Amino acid sequence: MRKPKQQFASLDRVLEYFEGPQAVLLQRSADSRVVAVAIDHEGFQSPFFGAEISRDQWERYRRGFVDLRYLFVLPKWKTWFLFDLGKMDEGGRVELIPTAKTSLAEQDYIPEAGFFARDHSEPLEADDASHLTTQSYKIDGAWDLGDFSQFYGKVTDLYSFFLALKKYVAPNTDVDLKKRVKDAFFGHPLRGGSSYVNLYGDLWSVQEIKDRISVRRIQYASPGNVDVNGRADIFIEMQIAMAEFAIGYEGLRQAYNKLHKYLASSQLLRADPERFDRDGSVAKYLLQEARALAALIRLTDVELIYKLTDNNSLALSKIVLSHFRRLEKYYLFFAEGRVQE
Amino acid sequence: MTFKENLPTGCPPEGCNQEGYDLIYRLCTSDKPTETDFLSGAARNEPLPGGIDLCRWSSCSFFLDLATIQMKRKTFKKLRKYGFAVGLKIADNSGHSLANNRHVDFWMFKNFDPIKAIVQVEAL
Repeated sequence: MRKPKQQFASLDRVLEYFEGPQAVLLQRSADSRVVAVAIDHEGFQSPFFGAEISRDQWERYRRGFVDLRYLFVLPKWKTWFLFDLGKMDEGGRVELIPTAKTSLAEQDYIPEAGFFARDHSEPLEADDASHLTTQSYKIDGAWDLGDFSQFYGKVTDLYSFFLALKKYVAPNTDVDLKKRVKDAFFGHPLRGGSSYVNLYGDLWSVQEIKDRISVRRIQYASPGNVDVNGRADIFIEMQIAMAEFAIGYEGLRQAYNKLHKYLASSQLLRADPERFDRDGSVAKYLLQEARALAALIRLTDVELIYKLTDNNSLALSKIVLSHFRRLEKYYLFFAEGRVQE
Repeated sequence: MTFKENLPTGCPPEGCNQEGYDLIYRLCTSDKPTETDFLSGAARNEPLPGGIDLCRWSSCSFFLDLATIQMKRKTFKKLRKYGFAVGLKIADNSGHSLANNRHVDFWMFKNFDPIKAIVQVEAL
């Protein structure tokens, strides 16, 4: 009978320490980690029970979206191991011995619910250098749950939009993610309502967990606060756009109306961009107007969006208009005095 | 000042301080702890786990409060063998300590008597 192939992992970091390591993280590959807790097990010097999770799961844990128990109960790769930290080889590796998540493991090994990354004795730095910041919104006036939902929905749509474009041009973005960004921008008929919701939904879902926007704190009072964590460069893009809205909202609205009215009167609002003549005079006009509107709202990546739509100025126009609408709804919270930065 | 245990070169690490604690807790298996309950893994001649440096292995672990202890015991089931939290009052200049998120590594001076420093024992 053939001996099963040996499996190894390297110690990445100690997560919890009391009289020795009580929880550790091992690394197997780019998308495989083993999170493990110290146990009692005869014949081992320093026994541990671990679950094989994905990089994304680890990031979700590190950022506090899930607790430690979740990683053991629902590990992405559905495998569990025993290993002996006392038998680490010269390369810093330990041998992983596959095991099952038995009732014994549930009773004696797997952590109880409610323990989060913030509770660890050892500091948990991000895998990549942390580039996230907190955007603090001061809120005032009357807010109901729908208002919070709408406000955060607009923040999320705008954030996803800008982030997708930045990720597309970033040098270390993998081919698969770039394809997903492109499919998000040009995979929808853009004929109304749900099409745009799907566009932004797709842009949201292509993001990596380490870049995702998240609510850090909501203090509902009058005045109160909403603190949102995300990339500083994205928040700056949003601030730049808001400055333009604050200075010349009426002019921006007129430019929007001009392009929107042209599409409506030309029966293009519900037209499928895939059937659009990209080289005709209408296409040239739309490209000119879309670029003009984009310039007014300081959308500097308009040429990139044009490229992502395979040089389709109808798709570009519709995307710029949808982006404007989200900026506008976001702006109105500020204009109404209900939000300040 | 001499340390109670033999420490490796460069130990305790930089960043430690010599301030005392009004109340700091050691997990013990007995409500009548002895000096053995305050030995480090190194002093107990236990094998050094992989990835742990000898200096840390030569420290004595404490927690700053009972709530943290209860949370850790609930989560990390191996800690449930410790049935008691023994509270100590540690005067300034009793040793070097390094705190990390409610956990403290303590390297005692030779003249520090942990048994005499006990001020309370809590059953867990």
